[in-house]
Amino acid sequence: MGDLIFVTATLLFFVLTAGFIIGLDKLSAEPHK
Amino acid sequence: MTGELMHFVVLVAIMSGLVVPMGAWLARVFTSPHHGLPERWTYKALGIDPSEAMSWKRYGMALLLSNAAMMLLGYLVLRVQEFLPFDPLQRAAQTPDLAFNTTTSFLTNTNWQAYSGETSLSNFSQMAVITYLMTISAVTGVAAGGGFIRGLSRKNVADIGNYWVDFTRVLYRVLLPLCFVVALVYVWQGTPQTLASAADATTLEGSKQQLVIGPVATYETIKHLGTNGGGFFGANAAHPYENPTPLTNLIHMLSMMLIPSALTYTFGSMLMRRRQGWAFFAAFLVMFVGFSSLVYAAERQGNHLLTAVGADQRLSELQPGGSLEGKEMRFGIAQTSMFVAVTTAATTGSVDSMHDSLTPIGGFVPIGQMMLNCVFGGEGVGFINLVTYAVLTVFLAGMMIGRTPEFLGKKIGATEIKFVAIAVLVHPFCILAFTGLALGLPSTAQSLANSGPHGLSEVLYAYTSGTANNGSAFGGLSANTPFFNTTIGYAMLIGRYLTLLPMLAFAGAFAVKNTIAEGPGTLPTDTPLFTGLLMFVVILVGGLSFFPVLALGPIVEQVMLNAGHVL
Repeated sequence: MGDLIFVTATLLFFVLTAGFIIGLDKLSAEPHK
Repeated sequence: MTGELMHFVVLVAIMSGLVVPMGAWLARVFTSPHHGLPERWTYKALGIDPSEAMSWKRYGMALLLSNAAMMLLGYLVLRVQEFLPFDPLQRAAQTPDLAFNTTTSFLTNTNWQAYSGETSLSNFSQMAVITYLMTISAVTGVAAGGGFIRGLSRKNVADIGNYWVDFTRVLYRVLLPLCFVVALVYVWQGTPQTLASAADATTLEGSKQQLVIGPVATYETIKHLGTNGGGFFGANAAHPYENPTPLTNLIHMLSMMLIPSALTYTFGSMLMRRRQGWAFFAAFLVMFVGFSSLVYAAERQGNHLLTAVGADQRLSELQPGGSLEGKEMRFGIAQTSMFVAVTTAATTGSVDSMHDSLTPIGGFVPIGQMMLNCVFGGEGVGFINLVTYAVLTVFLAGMMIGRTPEFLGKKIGATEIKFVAIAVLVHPFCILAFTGLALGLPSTAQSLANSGPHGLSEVLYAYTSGTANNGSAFGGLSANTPFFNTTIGYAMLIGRYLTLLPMLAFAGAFAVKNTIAEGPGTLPTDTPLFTGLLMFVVILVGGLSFFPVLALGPIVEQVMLNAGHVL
């Protein structure tokens, strides 16, 4: 059970951080006002 | 006293002398158009196209996802350790929360240890997980630093290089050769290097003692060259097997500062702005000398309450004097103070004394340096952090005179400032939020050795060390609990990736821009004035973020000590 929790938590962090990269990339692609 | 100051002078002189050769070496690694034979074999075996030009997004994804895979692999090994070879002592597997904390710690170049190495890890785990991740995390940081500097050096292009090429070159051309040479020196000095797990010894009283040994020399090399810091033994660099002589103590410190300091010259070389590189080096050095002097003065002065009850804390030919609690007698006040300053400046986390035993102001120094996180800083990321503050400095200066800020010949726009703001804010938010959460839980008191301001410092230090990817422990906090293992684990992950990735995005956005001609309103960034302004902004932002909590911890503890109160 403990392994499942921590492996899931780890994967969740890295998936969310990958989403963070995509968000930052969209931010950099925004046109300057 | 003069002899002690010479320790500082020698350390700073040798470290400064190594900046140019090491920095030039790194610059060549990051700019050479040629791939070595082992590198070409590696690319072929792994299906890598070394000519691929990566955007910052692809560069960051490659870094992140490869790190994720390595973390899962490390976690697996620690969980099945008892079934793996090289452990006649048959040490049990780590619990899930401890294995999560350990792999997170070494993956992120933190090396926080909620376990004691000699009782918790087999030689196989020490090599296949700990030493492996120490190497990988250091290579990752230096590679990211190279990609970052390359992004700053370019104009009108959409890529910042190739992560796999940077990674492979740093591993093959820099860290492996350096580690090989330094490991031989450590073996010469008496550090063990063996696959045996223990040696039997007979004490002077005639009783039998089992001494844990193992591949310590190779561990020590990457531990310091990679600004990692976790100890093979629980006593870390205070252990005579890890740090047998004054020479190894000096090499430990030089190793920690070698690459972080050299990256300033690498930056100057790659951008053809050597003065700018030296301006950054000067900022590093001045802050480091200031913090070193503070911890030395505090520890040399000792505790006046002990003097009042008859303890002699004066320096003499017969004793080193000062506050010696928690210090290794072989190193005394000067060597210990230097080690404290170096290990928390370079965010290594290796310790040759117990930081919990430092005087309150002495303890303020390691916490403060980790909070600023840019007094040399860790492999690659320390330099990136300083550039983050440099951009913030030109932004604030631009606001004061009403001009669009410029940095390295390019205008800094709103997008770049957003990246900088994220990188600057994540660090204090993570430290303060987790510290607040821990202090709000009644169960935390059971993990603390002290109450009052010192207890607060123990919790604050733990999350600061984790978020700054330092890894040193103040001591006094029993951190091997599911709560601390999990929250400090997340602090390490957040501190590593959520500050690094925005600055890679900054480098990507910067690479796309074109340069502009400098005008009368351009603030020169390679002058002593700018270096001073940069340090002011670093201290200002650090103070605004952390002064309240520092006031409740080490500062009020020093005030109480001065007033004669003991908790």
